[in-house]
Amino acid sequence: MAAGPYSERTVWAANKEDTLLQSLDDVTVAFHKTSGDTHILNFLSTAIINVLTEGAETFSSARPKILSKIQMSSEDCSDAIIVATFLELDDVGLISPQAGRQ
Amino acid sequence: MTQKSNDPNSFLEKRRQILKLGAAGMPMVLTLRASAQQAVISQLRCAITVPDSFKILVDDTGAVWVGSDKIDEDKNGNLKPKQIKKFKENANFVFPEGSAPVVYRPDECEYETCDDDDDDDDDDDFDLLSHLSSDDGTYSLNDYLAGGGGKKDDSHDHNQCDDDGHSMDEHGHSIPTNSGCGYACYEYSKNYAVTPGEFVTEGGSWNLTGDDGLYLSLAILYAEENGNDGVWPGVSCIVSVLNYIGQ
Repeated sequence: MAAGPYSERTVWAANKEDTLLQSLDDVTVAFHKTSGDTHILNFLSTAIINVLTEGAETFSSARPKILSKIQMSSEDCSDAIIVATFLELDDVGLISPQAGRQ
Repeated sequence: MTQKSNDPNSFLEKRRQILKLGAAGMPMVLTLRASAQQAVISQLRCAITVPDSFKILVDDTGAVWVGSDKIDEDKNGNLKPKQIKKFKENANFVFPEGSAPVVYRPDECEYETCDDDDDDDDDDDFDLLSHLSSDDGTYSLNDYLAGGGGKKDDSHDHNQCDDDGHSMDEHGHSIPTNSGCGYACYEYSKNYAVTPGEFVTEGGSWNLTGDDGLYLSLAILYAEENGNDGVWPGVSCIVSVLNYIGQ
């Protein structure tokens, strides 16, 4: 499930049914049932999963919610690293684009 | 997110450091493929051990017999025909022609060439004398005359020919110049062990070599035919590896 073309309009969602999450301090262990892989998520990737579990979002709509969850500002957490983390999560199959992929 | 530190600045500073590492290329997601790899390893690590010694007899067509009867070589290094016959009769497993990979097949036998000249022509006298000639070059005309004329002993046998021009015995079977040739026997000792996964390439195909390769090539044929239900030693291991490589 490699990251493909995407845009600002791409709507992303996490598959709640397919992933088991267990928080351990500031990291979360995610077991992806489809692939059988286990992923260690840091606070940012965990926040993205949590936001997208609550509902599908674009980068723009998810950004303030993510920053709120990690209690940081956009100065601390750049758009670039948020986008890069989205794509990492897409790469391992924990989130996927629902619509708007170019 | 759970905030563990009572000092918000310290907590945020730690996260900033992590994000800096992320900006420098550190993954935000660390993937452990341990569970999947473990499954792969177990599929490829299974080993086959055959408690009793056995032999695999291969003929030049690739037909195969697997058994444990004795097969010795004669002084010329050829397998003894009677033992071959008995081995075939008592074989535990039989595979049809083409089963053994070509590299494991022996060379074809060299057959006696037949004289297909059936014409009654001027060569008759020569033919008569040649029939009467024994191995040491002496004539046995008296024997011929006294013994009912047409009776022939082995050394004088004038074989019939098959369609390929090969000599044939009284049963119509082709007779090679040395009837123990055309067979190769591979022997496997007691507690023979092989790990099929060691013969699987990174690309997921088989690379079968050596005596192990012959055993495995037959095991694969057997597994494809019978699946786990068969009685071939180690067939479940073969099926496991076949499943892994998607065959």
